[in-house]
Amino acid sequence: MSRLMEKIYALFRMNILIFGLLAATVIALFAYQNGLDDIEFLNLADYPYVIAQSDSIDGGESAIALARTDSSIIVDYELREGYAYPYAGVKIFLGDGKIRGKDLSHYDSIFVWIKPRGEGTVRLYMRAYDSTFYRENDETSLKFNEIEFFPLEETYPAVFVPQEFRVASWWVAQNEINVHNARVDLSNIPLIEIQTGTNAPLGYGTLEIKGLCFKGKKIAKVDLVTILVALWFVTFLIILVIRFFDYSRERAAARKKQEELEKNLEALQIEKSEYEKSSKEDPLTGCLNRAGFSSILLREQENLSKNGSPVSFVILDIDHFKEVNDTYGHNVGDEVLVNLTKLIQGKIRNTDALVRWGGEEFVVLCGDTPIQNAQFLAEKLRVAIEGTALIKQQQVTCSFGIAEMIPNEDPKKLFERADKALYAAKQGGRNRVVSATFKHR
Amino acid sequence: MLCSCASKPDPEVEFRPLQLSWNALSPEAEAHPSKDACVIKITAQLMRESVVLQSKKENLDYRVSYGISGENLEFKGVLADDSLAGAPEYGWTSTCGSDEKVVVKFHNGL
Repeated sequence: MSRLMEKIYALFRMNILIFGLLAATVIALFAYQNGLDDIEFLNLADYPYVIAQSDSIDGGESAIALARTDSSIIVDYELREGYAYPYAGVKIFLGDGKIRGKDLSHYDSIFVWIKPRGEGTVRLYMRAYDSTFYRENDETSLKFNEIEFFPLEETYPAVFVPQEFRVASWWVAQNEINVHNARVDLSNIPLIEIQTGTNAPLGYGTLEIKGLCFKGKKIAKVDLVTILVALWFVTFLIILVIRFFDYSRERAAARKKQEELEKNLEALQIEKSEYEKSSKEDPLTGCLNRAGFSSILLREQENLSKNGSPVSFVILDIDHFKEVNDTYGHNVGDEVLVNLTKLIQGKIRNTDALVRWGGEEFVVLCGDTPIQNAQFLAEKLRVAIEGTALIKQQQVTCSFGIAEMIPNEDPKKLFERADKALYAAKQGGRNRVVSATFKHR
Repeated sequence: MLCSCASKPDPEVEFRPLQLSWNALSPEAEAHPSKDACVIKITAQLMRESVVLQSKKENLDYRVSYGISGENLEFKGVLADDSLAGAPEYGWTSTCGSDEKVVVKFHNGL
């Protein structure tokens, strides 16, 4: 159970950023759907910058009067002939009313509370400032973002989305504006106009306007999505970097572990080779023992049978060694053995093998050596031993027996032959070299 | 039959112990540059000599002395066992130099 919890915790820890971001995304979307509203209400009953205006300023004859109630403004008008398109309405100034208006572009919907007391449509102009077209002190140069509608009781208040607005085509034509530059723009609205529409009948009429309401979100949907996408991207980038460093760290740890294992393996191999070596070595003298001798003998036998390369076997025995042991003790006996080994090792070739055959007997196996050369070597060794004080207590000498290997011969016979030669050397008075030579029957 | 084909029989050869004790008659003889090679050559030659191979004596123990003779070394070998004084293998001489082929001459004990 605890292991399961540990795994869950590890998974959670690894993905904590993703979990966190997921939670943040859900919260943000929920908040966007159910809150973060940005609402601006323009109550014309107490909004001071409202004026009534008719076509009389364009040379028309229409009359107009503006009155305020507690909750709305009442515009009474009489449309008369005299102007090509008779109209009457109100102007609502925002900001400075000229070039610095209000940004309405981030609102999603526009509510208009308007009740006509007459027939016909109503125009709503969102007049936008655009430095490209603006002419100083010329209100007509403010862009006409317009919508014309029938204000009905069923649809009270009337609701519009910014996409429903169009730039008045007559204004585009009048100002010779490239159609590509004549797009709806609500980012800077210094003036809103509500007027009678195109087909408003001549005569008396009234517009009761309560106000306008702009409704949107404190943050645009596109901005929210962009922020979330950016956050996810950055998060994944961070995770990628973390994973990369984790991977590098793990790789370094694995490499370190591998190096340690390799070192251990190397140590084990050294240990193994030392064990193998020690199993083939005589612990006292350090020269080969009989186990070590076997592999070398096999190699030399192969050399002899394949290449005809002669092999000689020299066996030597320390003369009166038992007396040395009995008289001076085993430590002195061991000293003789060690010093004798050193002496012989210094006189033979690297290719020759010195073997402690047992007790005070040693063997020198000489590859690529005929018996006469082995005899010569043995004589050299004998003279050297005779002339060296291996121990201070007494002079030590050795007797030698030599035999040459015959192809396909049982090695035992070789040993026996060399043994016989050694025996002859002992019988002959010791401290001498005897070779086992051929004898005709 | 299969067994006999599978393993080769060991060669039936007989051997005798041959002992050579070398003694220099002078320090110059011991220090002669060809001495070691001569000793080896003579040993090899002796081991091949028919009189040595056919000797009835089981152990042959030669006392070999050598000295300077001109630029060469002269070796003289005599069996330690005087009871074989009349035997052909009793004594021999050999002259050995740097380039010469070694010849061992047996003197029939005379």
